[in-house]
Amino acid sequence: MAIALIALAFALTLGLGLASRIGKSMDLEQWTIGRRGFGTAIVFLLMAGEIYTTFTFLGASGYAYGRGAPALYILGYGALAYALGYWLLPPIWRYAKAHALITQADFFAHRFRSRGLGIAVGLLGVLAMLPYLALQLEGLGLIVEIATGGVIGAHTAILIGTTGLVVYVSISGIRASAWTAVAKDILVLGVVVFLGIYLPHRAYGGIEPMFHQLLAQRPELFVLHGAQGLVWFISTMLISTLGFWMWPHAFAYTFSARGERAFRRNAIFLPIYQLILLFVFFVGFAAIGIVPGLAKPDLALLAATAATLPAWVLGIVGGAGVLAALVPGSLLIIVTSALLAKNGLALLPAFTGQEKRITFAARLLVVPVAIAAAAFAMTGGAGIVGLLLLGYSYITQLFPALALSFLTPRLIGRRAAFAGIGAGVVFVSLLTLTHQHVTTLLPFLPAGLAGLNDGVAALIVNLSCLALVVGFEQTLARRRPVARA
Amino acid sequence: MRRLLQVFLTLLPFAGMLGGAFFTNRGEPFVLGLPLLYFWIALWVVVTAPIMALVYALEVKPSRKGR
Repeated sequence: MAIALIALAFALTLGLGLASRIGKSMDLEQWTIGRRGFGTAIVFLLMAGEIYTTFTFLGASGYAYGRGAPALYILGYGALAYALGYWLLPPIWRYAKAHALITQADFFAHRFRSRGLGIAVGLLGVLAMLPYLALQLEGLGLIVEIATGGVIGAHTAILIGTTGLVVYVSISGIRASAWTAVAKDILVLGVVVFLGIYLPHRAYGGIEPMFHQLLAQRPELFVLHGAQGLVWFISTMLISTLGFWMWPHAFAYTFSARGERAFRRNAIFLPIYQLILLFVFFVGFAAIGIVPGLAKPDLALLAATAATLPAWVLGIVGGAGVLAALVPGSLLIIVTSALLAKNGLALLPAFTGQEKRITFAARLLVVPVAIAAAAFAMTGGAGIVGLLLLGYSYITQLFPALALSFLTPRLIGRRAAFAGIGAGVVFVSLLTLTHQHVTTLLPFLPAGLAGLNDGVAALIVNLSCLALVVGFEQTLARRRPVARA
Repeated sequence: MRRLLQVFLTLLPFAGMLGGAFFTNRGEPFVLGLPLLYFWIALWVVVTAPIMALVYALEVKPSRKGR
């Protein structure tokens, strides 16, 4: 039964994905950003896609199950990110539209008049997105394996899922992401709200009684403390908010909008939509009573469902989980392939100016990108989450140069952008490779900063280097006329 | 002036959610069935919507082409 329902969800995704192609001729602009033709509703679905991924399904409930209060950052930063998007996305969209830009790397290359910066940003994007994609596929394998009681193993599920993804993504592009997102959101929303109400009632007799009992038994779940105290909470929220729009796929759905009004209006609707995450937390807390002591907290939602509900419900949950993996996964594959084709291959003589060839290459690149991510998902294991966090820290380093280029358009040149981004990325890499933290590097800092997100420190390094180069350039510019005289 | 008000309004959720967490980092009292910190973050997520609606209402409506 569960297998049939999951197969149905998969077939539905495949069908919707393929159908979305009908009546559209395919060039790179169509394939990657839907020829900038999406209205508020579709942009809403693509923007909201980020809220309900496998990470939400498994990670957020697992976070609440294992740690409690720190999970709240996942709920909070989304609303802040959408508020920031109100201001950030319209100018990005306008600029991209005026200059017919397709990828994030195009944007940086054009904005800072530097092909080299475009290549660097493209490379950074690909490096950051691969673990993200692998994480979706790994989640898909996990969900299917558990929902089918092990009848379909995780690796088999990843292989089947990735194959389907490759087929409909290479054929339909971003339209497939948009169409399948409709089915995904309905299914995931239904499942999350149902489980978030049912499981607390089943285990504790209601949501409020659940919190009262848990507060008495596990008070530490309700206070931010220790390594994940307030400093951690606030700095992680800020970094997540700034990084949210710096992902290459965020640029893709920004570019896909028909007009800038879509972003402003969605800044109103999306925070409310984000609130559904509360139900995901309820599931995680209820699981403490239903399936205590799981070795892998990420399995809390699935394990609690399997323990209390019939197999067919587990099948629907599994189907929702499959969609929650495939939809964000499809967008990630499209954007990665487009970056590789448009900002990598297109620079080779054989591709220069060959629009058709570049489009073809992008759609073909879906295959190796998917294979790489699937292999990563099957072998990477726990390392993927670490790499994803690293990817987040990397991608956030794009923020200062980008934001300043709008606030002070003439001040930030390509050298300053390069210096800032480069210094931030190098700093993040050094901290990670040497397993250091800001407070261990600079022991004179107050102990209260122990939980500070490394990304914040990297942003400070980033901004300092950027400012240094700007200052240097300004001094030179002022001196030059004198020297000539 | 209008811009300034819009920016100020946008900063409110940041100040409320992040700054307020210093004072609400507790389990009790319960508000609307939620432990205090959970209620506080959820409250600001909800309040962000009308705040952004207000910011949008203050927007100088550009010519129709911006659609």
